[in-house]
Amino acid sequence: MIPTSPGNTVLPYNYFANGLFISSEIPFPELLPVDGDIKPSLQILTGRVPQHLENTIFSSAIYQVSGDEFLLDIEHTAKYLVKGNHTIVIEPYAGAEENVIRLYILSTLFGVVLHKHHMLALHTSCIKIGDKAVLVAGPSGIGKSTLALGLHRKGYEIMNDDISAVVFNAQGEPQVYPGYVHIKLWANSLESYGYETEGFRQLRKDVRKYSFPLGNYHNFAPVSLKGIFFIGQNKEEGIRREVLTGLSTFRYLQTNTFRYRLIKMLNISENHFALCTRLANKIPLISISRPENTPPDVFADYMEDQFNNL
Amino acid sequence: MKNIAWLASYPKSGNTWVRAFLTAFFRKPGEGNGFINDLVAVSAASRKIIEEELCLETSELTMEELENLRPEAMRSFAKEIDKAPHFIKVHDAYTNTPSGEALFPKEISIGVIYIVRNPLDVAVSFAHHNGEDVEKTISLMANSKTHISQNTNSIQLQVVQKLQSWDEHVKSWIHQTDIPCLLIKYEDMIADPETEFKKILDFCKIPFSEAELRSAINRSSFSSLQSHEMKEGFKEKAINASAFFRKGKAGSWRDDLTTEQANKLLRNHMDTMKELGYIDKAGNFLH
Repeated sequence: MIPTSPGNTVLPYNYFANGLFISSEIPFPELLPVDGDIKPSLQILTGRVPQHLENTIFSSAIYQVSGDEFLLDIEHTAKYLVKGNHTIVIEPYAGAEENVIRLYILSTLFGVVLHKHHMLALHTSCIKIGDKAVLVAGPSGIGKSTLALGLHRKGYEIMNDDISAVVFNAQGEPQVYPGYVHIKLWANSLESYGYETEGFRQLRKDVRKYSFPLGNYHNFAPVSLKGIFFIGQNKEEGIRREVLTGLSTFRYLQTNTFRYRLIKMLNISENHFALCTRLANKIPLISISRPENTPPDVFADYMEDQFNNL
Repeated sequence: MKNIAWLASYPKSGNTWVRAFLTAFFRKPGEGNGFINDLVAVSAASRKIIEEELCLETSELTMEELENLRPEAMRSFAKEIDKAPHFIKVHDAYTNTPSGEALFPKEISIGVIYIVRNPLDVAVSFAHHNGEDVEKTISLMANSKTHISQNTNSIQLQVVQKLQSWDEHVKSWIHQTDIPCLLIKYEDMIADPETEFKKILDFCKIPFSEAELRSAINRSSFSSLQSHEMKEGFKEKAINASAFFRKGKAGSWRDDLTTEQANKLLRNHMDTMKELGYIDKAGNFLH
């Protein structure tokens, strides 16, 4: 597991996600709860967050990066400070909704923490096929989560949705950790499988996106990774499949790294390149492009076949 | 630093043709086929680019929050550019965000090339592109609240873009004074491509020879693009359309619109059509 940091405050909520034991001052229904005491790799607490970092390397209207810290400022929600790879401090703005405060932690800030732990954080869903895992990558809106739902309905375990943390074991083989215990789905995706949105927690008002609970997993250990599929769209009549080779493997891994821009900002480009190269040399990377109007269940059947024949 | 040249237009007005010309210009002849699916100018509405620049999950933002952050995404994108001009395709009208900031920051803008086309031809082409009947498209073009890529129940690969009505779209760009604007008419590109494309290169201060200009024009001609699409497909074709590069003519509305439809479009957009020279002072069609 990921090493813990010394001098941690005891916080009331304990979780596990993406290889990290997490202690938090605020509850996260999206994460797997852990009973008993833990030695956390990551603490999440409320406190004062400065307006500006000193000696910034990168800055924009919403984020700043200094040597050891990452600051995210979301108007009307909160300021967040990632200290090293071990602490997230939240200073909410007055009137901010708790579920909205959590959204930025579960996406961008977790990405920052995983990158700082030198894991290869990819923008993918992860499905367990037998005793191994496959990742499904692609841009937001391409249908990763809808596919995950389709496979969940077929009885497959969805290990995570959105961020997958890839590591290498002592034998140099790639593995991936389980992550969040929900899939985030748009109303259309839920309804395409016959669900009604009223039965699910809406992530935030004014956005018709919902939390679909997966049930808790029982094993924190990472699972061997057997392949990555990159999903795209085509304008043709059928699904196209291509095994990636050469430089295109790195390009695909790069563009599907979780918030790739963070890599340069956090000064971890060399490590990232090495991780991508190792991964590309170990497992098949496959591009799948499908027509825009492919029904979700048809695509789920196709991908199930692909996963099982890998 | 000003390094972005916006290629702005209402949909189906010739934006892709300009992008194809620029792509052909920057590639040497014979430097690979397949350029049709690798055109210069990313979209300002690309969700992937906006997410990367902001380091945020845009699907969890409200439409208002996302719109407020789009200028910052463009500023961040511009910071990473090392060679100017860098072209970005735009279909949005030139508007302010809900927080009052210009959607397209002037501090990063060299200028905008605004491509306009006779709205009667746009209506026919847009209807084909969307797989819808022309009446619906005529209404859409007259509606100040028209958006593209808007769906509150799912996520699109592009973010929502406010078009407004056709004439509001045109006026928003050609009447704004924040960003220098070069107006290019589709009909002029057909009639005299050398003059019009030369204007674009001069506007962007891109040096060229006459031979390079002619070569790029030939390699991005409508018939050439049609041929490319037939051989390789075109990834920007809408799913409901039979082809993206369909007719490429000026005035073909006369074959496709009824008199009533043409008059409806004329009534809806008369002032702007006069300003652009699509009708004379008496309201007679000039194109």
